Amino acid sequence: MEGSMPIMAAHSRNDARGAARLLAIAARDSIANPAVAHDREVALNNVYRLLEAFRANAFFDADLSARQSQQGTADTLTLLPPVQRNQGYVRDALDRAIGSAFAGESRDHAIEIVENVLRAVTYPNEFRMPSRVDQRRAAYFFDELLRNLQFS
Amino acid sequence: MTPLEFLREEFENVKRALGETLRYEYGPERSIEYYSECQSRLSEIDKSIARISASAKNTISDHLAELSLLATWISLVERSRLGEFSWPFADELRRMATALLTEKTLKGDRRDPIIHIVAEGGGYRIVYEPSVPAASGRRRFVIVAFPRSLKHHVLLHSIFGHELCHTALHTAQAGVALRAEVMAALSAIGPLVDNSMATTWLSAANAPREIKAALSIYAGRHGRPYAFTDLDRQMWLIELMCDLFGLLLFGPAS
Repeated sequence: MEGSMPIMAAHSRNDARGAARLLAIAARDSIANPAVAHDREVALNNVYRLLEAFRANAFFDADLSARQSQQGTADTLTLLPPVQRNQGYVRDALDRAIGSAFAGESRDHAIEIVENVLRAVTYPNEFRMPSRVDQRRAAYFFDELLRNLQFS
Repeated sequence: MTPLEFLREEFENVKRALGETLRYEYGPERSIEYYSECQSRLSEIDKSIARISASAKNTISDHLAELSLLATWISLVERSRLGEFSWPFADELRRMATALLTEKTLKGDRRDPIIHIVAEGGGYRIVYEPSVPAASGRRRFVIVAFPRSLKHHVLLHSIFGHELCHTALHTAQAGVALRAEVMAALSAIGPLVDNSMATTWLSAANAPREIKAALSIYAGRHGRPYAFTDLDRQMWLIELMCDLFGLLLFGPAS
């Protein structure tokens, strides 16, 4: 169409840190103001996916993936999506956020608390809201996660 | 043009690209759900953009990256055409992948992936959405890429049994079972128990000629004999597990 800019390069980037930040912002804002949560249902379900992947250790070969992401010429010509970079960075950021918000507690227990808060915030008519203490810890967890994910 | 204006312009570009995909005919029916998911993601991104402050440059940049990835998914709508691969085989593969890769939502509802078959010039590949998901996705895309030139060599397609295991390893359900049970069993006894035993086994006098040749080249290049590292051993274990997985699904052809 005349006057419009070309679509950006399809392989320009796929950085796990940026994707994780968008998720953390959606979660933080929804916990702070549950009235907006319904409008962010899709994003909050993706926060849940991220937490489940972390719980299941799906980032187990993040370093290997990063090594394989150094694509050659043939790979960059394909239209297939690029390998996501910096997953290990996100895994470490999640680890540190749990250490800050849930010091001394198991990873599984911490994730369960955060997921329960997200569930109640997203579907208030179907799930009971956990205690205020748990709400505060979940909010702090996402604050810390965002802080850990800052990059220039 | 401000960064936010640029983001809005890019959004319109991607929206236009999705609209243009409707000009063609693709594989039987399946492209509808793929198209709808792309449309739904655009709609979610549109809502997010409306909330962004013009000064939130990092968030604008993150949304640009999300749009860029969506543009890649959209471009793949056009790569799935009738006649470029064996549809009965593709349908069977779709059935297996759906069983392995289905997820649960926050509410506990079942969320099936969208399996999209494309013809590519390269090798056999399965591309799953990354472990850190895009904020806008409802269902995950799984791209199964067939090498177009091997369309009639159905026995080779069984390589997908191996590739499917690589994909399943990154899921919260099947991945946990594969790593906890299969990988643990493979490394509990035998030559892959630790790096030292693996190195001894690989360098055995009765090793295949090709292995000896490769080890000799390595030693010549690096000035020392090859020795397994943790990462190398993990890669071997993963490949071995994927071979067994493919063997169970498709038999020896995989």
